[in-house]
Amino acid sequence: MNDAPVDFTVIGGFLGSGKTSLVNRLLAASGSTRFAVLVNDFGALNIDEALIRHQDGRIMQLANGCICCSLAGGLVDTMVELMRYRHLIDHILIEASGVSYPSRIMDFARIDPDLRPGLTLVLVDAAHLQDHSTDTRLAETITAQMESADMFVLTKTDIASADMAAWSRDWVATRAPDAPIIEGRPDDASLVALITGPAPDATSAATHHHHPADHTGHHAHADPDRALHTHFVSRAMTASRPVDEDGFADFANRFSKHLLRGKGTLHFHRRSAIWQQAGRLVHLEDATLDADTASQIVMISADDLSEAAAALRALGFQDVANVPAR
Amino acid sequence: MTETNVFSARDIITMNASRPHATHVAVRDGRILGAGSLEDMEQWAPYTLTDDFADKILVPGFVEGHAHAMEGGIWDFPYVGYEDRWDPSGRRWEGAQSLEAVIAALTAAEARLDDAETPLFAWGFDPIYFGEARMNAAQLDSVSTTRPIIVLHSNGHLLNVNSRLMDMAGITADTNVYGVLKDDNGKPTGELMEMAAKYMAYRQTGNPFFGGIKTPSLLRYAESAVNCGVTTATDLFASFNEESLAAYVEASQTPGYALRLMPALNTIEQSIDEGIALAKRALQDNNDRLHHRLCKVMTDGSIQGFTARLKWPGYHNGKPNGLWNLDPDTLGELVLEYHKAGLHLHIHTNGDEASELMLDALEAAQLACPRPDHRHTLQHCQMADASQFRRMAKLGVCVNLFANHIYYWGDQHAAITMGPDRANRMDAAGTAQREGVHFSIHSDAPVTPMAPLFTAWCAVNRQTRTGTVLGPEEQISAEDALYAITLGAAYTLHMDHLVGSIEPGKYADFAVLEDSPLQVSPDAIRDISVWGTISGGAPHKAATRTG
Repeated sequence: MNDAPVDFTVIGGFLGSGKTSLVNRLLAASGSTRFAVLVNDFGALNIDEALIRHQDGRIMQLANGCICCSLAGGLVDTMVELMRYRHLIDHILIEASGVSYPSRIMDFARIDPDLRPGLTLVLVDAAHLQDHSTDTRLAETITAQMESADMFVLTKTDIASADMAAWSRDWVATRAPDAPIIEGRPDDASLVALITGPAPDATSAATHHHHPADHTGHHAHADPDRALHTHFVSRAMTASRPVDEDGFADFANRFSKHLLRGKGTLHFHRRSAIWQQAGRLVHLEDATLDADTASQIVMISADDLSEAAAALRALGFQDVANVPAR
Repeated sequence: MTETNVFSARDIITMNASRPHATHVAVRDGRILGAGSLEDMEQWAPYTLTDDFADKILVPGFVEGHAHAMEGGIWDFPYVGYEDRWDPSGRRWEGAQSLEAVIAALTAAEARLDDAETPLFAWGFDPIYFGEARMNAAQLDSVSTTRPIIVLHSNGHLLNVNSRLMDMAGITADTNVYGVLKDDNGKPTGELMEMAAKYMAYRQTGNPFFGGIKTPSLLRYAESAVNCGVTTATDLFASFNEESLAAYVEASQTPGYALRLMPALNTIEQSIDEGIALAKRALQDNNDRLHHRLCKVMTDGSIQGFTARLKWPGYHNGKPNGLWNLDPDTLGELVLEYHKAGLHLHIHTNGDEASELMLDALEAAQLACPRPDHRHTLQHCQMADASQFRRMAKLGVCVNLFANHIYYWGDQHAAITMGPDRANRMDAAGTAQREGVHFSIHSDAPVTPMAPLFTAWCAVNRQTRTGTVLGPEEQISAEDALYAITLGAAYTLHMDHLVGSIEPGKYADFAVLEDSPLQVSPDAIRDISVWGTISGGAPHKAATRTG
């Protein structure tokens, strides 16, 4: 039995912001990740009956190894029940109701050592944010969602007017200045990569950087972030001398808005660590690394990484040439 | 020919406006033939005259419009609340009026468990009355270091656990999660709040309150009802899974079952379509003692837990506004669809913003699909102002007010949650009456004890635990309070043609009292002894109180 902690992701956002369709896309593109998705309404999920291997009341097992769970029995009891099957699950994804506070849900992963805190992704309906944010019944909830998100996806940009979309982007950016905002519609593979990304397999991150050529080589399928490299801007850097830990932590916080993904292996003066970042979510976890290797990192961004790279150069990093650009 | 029984009584308060008082009531086939004088009974001869209650008062069997059948089953676990309570068998659970007393009660409960590892659960803990003193894990460790212990607070938001449970859960000084409370040295105290901490506790022990209702709980619920004069009661937040539905049928068909049960489907436990189909299918199970058709909607949380949704100016102590249970738009859609399906909605709204949202939703539903006499009912509705009561009257919406709150938490509402102005108008039965809203009052058992005479006392006196009177303008008369716990409640349940008054054709359901609520002084209504009930013409004596 696998005792590794189960990754835990929260998808927040108001009614109509596209959470269900995101969950649908994720289930379809899950690959080898066995997701357990907890949703408010089974019926809204677009699941082909032929793919349902087993259904028992509020739990549905799919042919691809994923599990869907109804939250109708309440989050606490559903999670207690679900964790009895933790050996069948790699990654739990909660579709938070539009009026819940995502950070209170992420607390489940912060308190349970069998869970690993992952991304809190909040979807923002660009066409209706103005209505929602001025509705006194919803205002505090929406503000709390802004505070707790690691990253935002601006949805409905196709039906929102350009002005409205810009207004929505500004509104979010004012309230969460250090969180990335993804616009447009990332492809399914990128979406899966964004969500599973910060849920790291430390060894693959490490080996991956020993062999940068693998990005395009025959082991490429092992890199879940591959899709991101093609969809977004990416940049790889390396440092041969130990890195100042405080300086790096400061960098991670300062550039969180630009870092959809950040990952790597780092040698600080006092320890070595695996770095995993997704917007405001930063993990720097102790790791045992080969002392002879250089520190290696990769950054992926929806906008521009030149300032981030400059900041890293100031910490002793240099560019690596052969990482695929966009 | 079936038998006719005539019961005599010192007074029969009928709640039938055309014959308010009688000395005799005739019963046949479980139903009332008529009430009047002994001479009036001659028309029903031959009959058997029962003088067993000649010195007692008969009133219509009380109707509890908001309680939970869990009241029957929760006594499997020790009670550690502040005030004395009696379980369905009549056993007194002594109120624990200090932390030491709570620990002593837990130690006694622990001694009744066989092995050393079975979790110990207790409920009803209410440290509000202990000043600054809080319970900590070390105190619970004196009860047991080998079994996990969970003590549920009466407000439903907090738990206290022992070190054994924290060890199992891996909760240490390094746990930095909202809801894990710590002492000055950074050590977790064992006091846990909010979902995540609750999850962590139940992950170790299982949640004993999870799942639907079972027959033994429903049987004990009926015993509890007999003890306080109730003959019709709701189970107002019910899982309609197969086991629970079967349990309702089994209990209601058990010979001698002394209660008419009214489960209300928990509408958020399945999709709207499935819920409506379930509620309609359940109608086929209906019998004399089982009346499906109610559906429950949860709008917001609780006021003392700061999760109720309040209008401006919000919480008196400045806490942020509470939580919607579902997106407001989804709640509106739910109300509309159940309304269109002809079902009967009972809608939990504690804060005034929640009441407003639901009045908007009900108004929209009425415009989209006019339905005369729907009797949708706002439940608790503790903070509604006069304008909201006027809207209820116009929309044909009923209200069931949580009068017991005035006594149990009124002091806290005045000082902390609502402030004096709004606390004075909380559970405003006087306003409901003035504005012509059909209303009832309730206990929400097991949150507070099921005892309609106590609930009536609360509405009549509006006295808090410390003796303060909150909003004397909202007091109602004893007669109106008696109406609220009988015919008023029956009306909100669409049962006023069957129960709630003593008149021909209705079920012969009576509460048998030692004194008249209309004769004793208003402050003594809660002290009236309940002999028991007569349900469908059959007497059921209340359990003798022991301990």
